[in-house]
Amino acid sequence: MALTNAHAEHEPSGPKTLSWPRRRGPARKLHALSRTAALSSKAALWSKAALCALLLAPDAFGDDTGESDPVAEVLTSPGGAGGAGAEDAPEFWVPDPTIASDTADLLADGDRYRFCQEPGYRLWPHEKDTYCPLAEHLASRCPELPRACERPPYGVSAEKDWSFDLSPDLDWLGAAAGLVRILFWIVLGLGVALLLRALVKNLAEEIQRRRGREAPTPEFVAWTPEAPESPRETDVQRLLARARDEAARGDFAAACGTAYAAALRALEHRHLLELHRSRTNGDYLRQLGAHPEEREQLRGVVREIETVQFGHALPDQALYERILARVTTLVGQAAVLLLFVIAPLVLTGCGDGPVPDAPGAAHGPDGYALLEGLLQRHSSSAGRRVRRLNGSMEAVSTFVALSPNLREEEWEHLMNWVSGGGTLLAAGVPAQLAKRLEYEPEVRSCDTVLDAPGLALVHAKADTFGAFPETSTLVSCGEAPFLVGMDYGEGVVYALADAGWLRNASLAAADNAQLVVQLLASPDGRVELLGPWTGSGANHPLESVHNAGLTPWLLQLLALAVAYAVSRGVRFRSPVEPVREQRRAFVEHAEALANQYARSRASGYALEQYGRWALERIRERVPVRERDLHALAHAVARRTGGEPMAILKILVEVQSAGQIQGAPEEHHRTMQALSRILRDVGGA
Amino acid sequence: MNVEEFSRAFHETADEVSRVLLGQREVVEHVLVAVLSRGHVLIEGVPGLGKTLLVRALGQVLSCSFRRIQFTPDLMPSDVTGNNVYNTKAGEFMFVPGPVFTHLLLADEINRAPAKTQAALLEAMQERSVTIDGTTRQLPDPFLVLATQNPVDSQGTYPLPEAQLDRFLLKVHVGYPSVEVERGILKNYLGGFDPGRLEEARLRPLLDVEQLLQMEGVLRSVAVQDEILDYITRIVTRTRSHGSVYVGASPRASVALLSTARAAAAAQGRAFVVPDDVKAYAHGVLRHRLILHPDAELENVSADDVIEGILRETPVPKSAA
Repeated sequence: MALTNAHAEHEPSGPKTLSWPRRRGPARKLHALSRTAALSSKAALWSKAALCALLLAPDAFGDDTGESDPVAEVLTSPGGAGGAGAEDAPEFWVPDPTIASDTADLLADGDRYRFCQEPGYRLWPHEKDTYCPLAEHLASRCPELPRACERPPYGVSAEKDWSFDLSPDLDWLGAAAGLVRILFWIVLGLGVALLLRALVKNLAEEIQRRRGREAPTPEFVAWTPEAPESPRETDVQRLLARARDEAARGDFAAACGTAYAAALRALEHRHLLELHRSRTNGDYLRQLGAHPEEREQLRGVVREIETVQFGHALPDQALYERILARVTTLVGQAAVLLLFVIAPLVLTGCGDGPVPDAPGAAHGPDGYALLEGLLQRHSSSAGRRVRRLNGSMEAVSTFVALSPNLREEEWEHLMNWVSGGGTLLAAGVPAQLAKRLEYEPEVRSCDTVLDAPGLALVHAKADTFGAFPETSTLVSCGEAPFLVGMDYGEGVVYALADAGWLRNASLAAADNAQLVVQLLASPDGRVELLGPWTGSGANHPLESVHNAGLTPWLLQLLALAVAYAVSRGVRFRSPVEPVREQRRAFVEHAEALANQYARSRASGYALEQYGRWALERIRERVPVRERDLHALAHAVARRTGGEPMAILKILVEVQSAGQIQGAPEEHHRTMQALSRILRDVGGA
Repeated sequence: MNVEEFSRAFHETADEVSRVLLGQREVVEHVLVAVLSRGHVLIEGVPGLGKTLLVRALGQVLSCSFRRIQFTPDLMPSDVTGNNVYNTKAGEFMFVPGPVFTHLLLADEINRAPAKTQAALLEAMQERSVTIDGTTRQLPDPFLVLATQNPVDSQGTYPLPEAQLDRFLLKVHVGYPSVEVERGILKNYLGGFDPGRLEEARLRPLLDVEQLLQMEGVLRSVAVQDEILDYITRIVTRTRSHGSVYVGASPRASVALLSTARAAAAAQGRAFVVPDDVKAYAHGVLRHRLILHPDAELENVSADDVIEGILRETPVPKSAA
């Protein structure tokens, strides 16, 4: 068998024929040799056997970078030859038993991979179409999927736009997922524990209450009715149940009170009443003024219940029955209304059996959790990339592009990184990548078996590439390439024609996972999955805002806030609490005192006191030898130019204010006149 | 007489009085309750609301002797209680009883009489007897004073001191009638009604003194639970510690509230008192017994506001809430 030297010169950028993939070393070359030679399977087997012998010699081809070659290790290690049956399997793709066991182990988690393990699981219509053809290949690892294929698909259309992932998937958090999951279960557990504790406590108290209750007092003993034991119970049905229990025990007093409380609560729930400890039964009846029917019903209950609570009526079965009949009518009205509200909610809540995982859910048939889980187990680390591809990617050794929505600059950044020595597996070749790979996208369908010597690969409906020049076909479907690889600068690009082949249900079938893990696993580096989630994270909050396209809005809001602040002005000092007045103003005291005088009809007394003081001031201002008012009045008249007799009249009224009764208005007028005289003579 | 008969008689009396006094049913019932509780009533209202008409109509319906005193500033105590007058023919002093010697006494505008005259009447109200020249003379039984006063008149009035207001069982406010009621009043006038000639209204004398005494006896059989007593006590004692009240209600107020509550219960045909009965008469019993702080008056807080607040914060016995 002639070995075609497919080794090509390495160039810093641009696609090249894959000849010596940097990381894989000899294995890659072997791969390229077998493909490009287009040997038959048997010839390929012999040639591979010969070449394996060569691999035992180190540096056989000289271009060994010194990096470890996991495939070579698989081939050379005792278990690396593929485990059971490896002697018969082609040496190139040797099934790794650890990959198989990890795949089975991951899929055995029925809480996550419900489509594999949950009895009664039903698939969405599109899932059924896509994955049921693989059912026979999934039976061992996903026993429920073949059974799901026999059931009708789930009723809701799969075209419904699920804008969010309903299933809690925390695997993308990587190492933190476990901690978050633990915290979640702790919080949930605490909540359930508190609820159970409340229920048990309530039940225990109820049991204790029933055991400790005394027998009703006999009729001949003066009986004092007691208030309901739990007046603050608000649930109507619980109150009615308690009333029935109390009546069954013969405590009709409490039963009547409890039934009445149920009636009030029922009306309260209908917002017809506001219960308060200070409100009487009459108050409640008045509140129902606009509802005559309920008012009459409640009035009947009130009449009966008051004979029990405040009268000396001995409650009996008949009384209780009468009260209960009225209360039931009132509660029934409330229940009917409640039924009209609740029934539609209940009916709309009916489901169609257990709800399957949402289409595209991480652990659903269409998810990528299995790929991520396998890569985590066989790589240094693996996880989803949520940040944008705009920073350092040194820690990453391999990217797996699962139809991500990358910007042009991100593709550029990614391909620059690949050309610097990275590895990229693109599931499907988007236009931005095709442009860079100089590939004219062409998709064909293939119905034949995928060809990968040593592995049994299966597919449902595989898409294949058209002519993909400058690449090495790693897996073919018939004559068409299904998985190709090429050098890109210092790095390697793998292109997978069918993006759906890496989904959980597809990867779980046969040896599909073997190929992918062997191709992508990186024990020394990190593997990151690029997908629709890429770009949803951010290195910092501002980046997050920018990614969401909110930057212009926030800037505008900020500008508006600044404009508003400027318009409102800026404080020149820190705000202080207003000084609380601890005392009333003097004028309020004077006003209060005046009110007291007015209430006491003490205007005459006030005039007397004021007049005494004012007269003294007037005498000071207008000194006269005589003390009588006549001389004083004339002196004031000469000073002010007023009428002497008028002034004398005022002075006489003032002086006799304490002796003669008068109306307050008259006293007030006199005081005002005296005040004017005092002002005219010079004031106080 | 049992409670049902009491209730029937009560409502018939109130209906009969309400034939001539439209739109004041609550006032009529309050006055009737006071009559049956052997308490005096202070009726306050602006002029022209039928205060005098109420008492006159009540006097006719109750078949009780009825006298009226118009209080004026020059009214002397002897004008109220009576006096010993020397009879020249007999050569001795003879006692001429004053208008207070009656079953129902209407003291119109009691706040227009000087304090001395007021005191004479108030002593008669309290003791139900008058002492003149050392001789004590009992007043008729039942003896009820219905005093009226005008809240807007200030000139020439002598407001009753708070200590004497406490002697009134109830203070009732008479307010303006509604539009419909006032229309009915006008129709009554068109129909020939004349309050000055009340006898032409032909009010039926439904009760007499004997029946009134029987009804008072029924009240003594109305049961009162301890919880109701607690409720009354809590309300009244709260007035003594309320921040807006300078002087609260006395134990006399508690007794008054209890008496009126029993009458109210019997009027409803019940042989027991419920909290509604207490609440219904709390305002009437307490509003004239509270002296508010000047600060509260400055803030336009009235006695009714204080009582309403106390009722709102006092838990009702055996409440389901």
